[in-house]
Parts: sequence; structure tokens; C-alpha cells
Amino acid sequence: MIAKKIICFLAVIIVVFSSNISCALKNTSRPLVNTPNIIEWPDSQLKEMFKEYWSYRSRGDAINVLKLEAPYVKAMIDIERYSEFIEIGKKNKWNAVRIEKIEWVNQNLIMIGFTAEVKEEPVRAREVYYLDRWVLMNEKWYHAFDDPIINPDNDFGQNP
Amino acid sequence: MAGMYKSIKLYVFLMLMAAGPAMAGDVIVATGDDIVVYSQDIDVMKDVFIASGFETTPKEYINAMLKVRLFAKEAQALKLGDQLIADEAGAQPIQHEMTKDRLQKLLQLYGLYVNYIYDHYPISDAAIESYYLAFPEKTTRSGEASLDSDFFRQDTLDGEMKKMIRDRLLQNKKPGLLANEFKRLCEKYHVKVLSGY
Repeated sequence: MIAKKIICFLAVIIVVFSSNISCALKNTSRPLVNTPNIIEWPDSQLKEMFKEYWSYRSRGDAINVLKLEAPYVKAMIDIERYSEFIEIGKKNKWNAVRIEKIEWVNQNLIMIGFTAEVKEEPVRAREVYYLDRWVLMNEKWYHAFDDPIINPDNDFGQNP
Repeated sequence: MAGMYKSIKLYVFLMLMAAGPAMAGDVIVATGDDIVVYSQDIDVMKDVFIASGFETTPKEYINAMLKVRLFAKEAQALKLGDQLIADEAGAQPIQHEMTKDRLQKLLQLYGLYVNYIYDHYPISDAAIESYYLAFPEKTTRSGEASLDSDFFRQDTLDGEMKKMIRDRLLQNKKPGLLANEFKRLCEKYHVKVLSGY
């Protein structure tokens, strides 16, 4: 009888301990949300806008994403097609974002490279690299939705 | 006054009916205010389509003819084209026969109205400027599709560049703009498609 109780107690201890271990492993295996010590943001407004934009984008919130797009995006998109594209985000779960690089192209344009850990049900999580374009106009940063996505066949400006 | 107007419309309608099918099998396929489209008109349109290597459904031929007629009508109202073109094309509702030459005139007016729609579509200066700033590789004078440009851009956003960007921003919208305008004009001129072609 006592032996049975000891065995049960040891079993409970083992189960609890092993579940703690798995949690700990899960926590340590998660990628960093950011690397602020390495990446220096050129200005705080850009950082806030970037976080806000991708927060909405990862939730597939097309209305709020569009508010942060550069004015040309609002002028050129087909709103239904754009919304469908953005709302794909609802199907995915973003676990983490890691900034890889922030580079000035010129005085009005910055490219931000980042990796996102995205989980697409039922597929397991995978890392996706994004190269994001941000434009500074009248002292305000706007996300520049990539033109080829809007029109992949565009050859504007190639042969002026 | 309203009675007189109705009488005139009835008279015009009877005249058009009296002009009657010029050839056996010629029937009215669509009508609208001051617009009558005959099956022979569609034949002419179809010939033009086929000559350019494009064939479509009877419904699309009728829609294409209606679009040409309605847009040309608006172009005439706005006096967009040369008066001679307008006069010849405009004679079509009364003179029953549609010829290739008349269709060409109508197509010229159609094209003028299409350009008018594009030219008058509102695109803000902010939209144009933001595109210019966001895509230096597509808006540089050198024409080199590269991001490796000077930190301080040398070229400027002048009138020519603004026009190029405006065209670019409109590019995706064009089919939708024309479809919406066609729909609006069909309602405005009470267009009805009467029979299949």
C-alpha cells in the first residue's frame, strides 16, 4: 500500500517536473522580439509607426493598415483586392519579429529588413523575411506598400 | 409641354421604326434615350473586333457598341472632338446604317471621352509626391532601375514626372473607371437591351 503511494507520488512529481521542463524549453526556443542593442532606430516616430503598422498588419486589420500607408497607395489600389491581401494576416499567428537591418536609401526613404516567425495553421511556424519600405514626407513617416504587389506587370520608369 | 415632348419622342421612335430593318433579319437589340442599336450595327462592330484578332460573346459585342455610343454621346455633349467627326458620328441615331467609317468616327469620340475621364480623375499632389519619394528607382531621370542613388536626389518632381506618376497611379483603376462610367451612362440614358444578338 505504502509502496503504491510512493509510486503515485513519484509519478506526479515526474509529470509536473517534465511539464516545467517543456515550458522552459518552449520559452527559451522563442526568438527574440527585437534586438534593440544592435539596431538603432533613426527616429522614434518611425519605430512607433513601424510597430503600429505591423501590429495591424499581423492581425489582418486592413482599415487601420491603410491609414498608415503612403498617400499614393490609397490613390492606386483596388480597395477590395488590397483588403483581401491584408486580411490573409488573420489566418496566421505572428510569434515574433526580429529587426535585421535599417538602412537609409536617401533622405526620404528607409528600408527595414526584418524576420517574422509566422505560424500558418496547421503548418508549423516558419520564419519569413520582409524588406519594408518607409517614406518620409512632410516630416511624417508612411509605409510604402510595394508597387509590384499592386501591379506585378508594371514597367513604369524602366524606359523613360 | 410634357405632352409635346412625349409626342416628339413618339415621332422620333416611329421615324426610327419606319426607317425599319434595312435588310432582312435586322432587329433592334438595344435602346436608350436617342439611342437605337440594330443587329447590323453589331455586325459592323464584330467585323472590327475580328479584324483586330479579337472575338467575344454576343453580349459583349452589344455592350461594346453601347459603350462606344454612350461615350461618344458624352464626348459630343462636351464638344471634345472635331465638329466634323461629331456631326458624322452623331448622325448615327437617325441614319440607321452603321458603317465602318462611322464606327471609326464614334471610336475616335469614344477615345476622347476615355481620356477625358482619366484626365479628370482626382489624384492628389500628396499621392504623386509620395510615389516619387517612395520609388526613386522608378522615378529617376537616369532611367536606371536601382536604389543606389545619391542620398540627396538631384532630379526634381516637375510637370513631366508628375504626369508619368499620375498615369502610373491610374493604371490599375482604368478598367474600373470605365466600367463605372458605362454603368452610370446606361442608367442616365435608360438603356435597355431588348434581345440577344
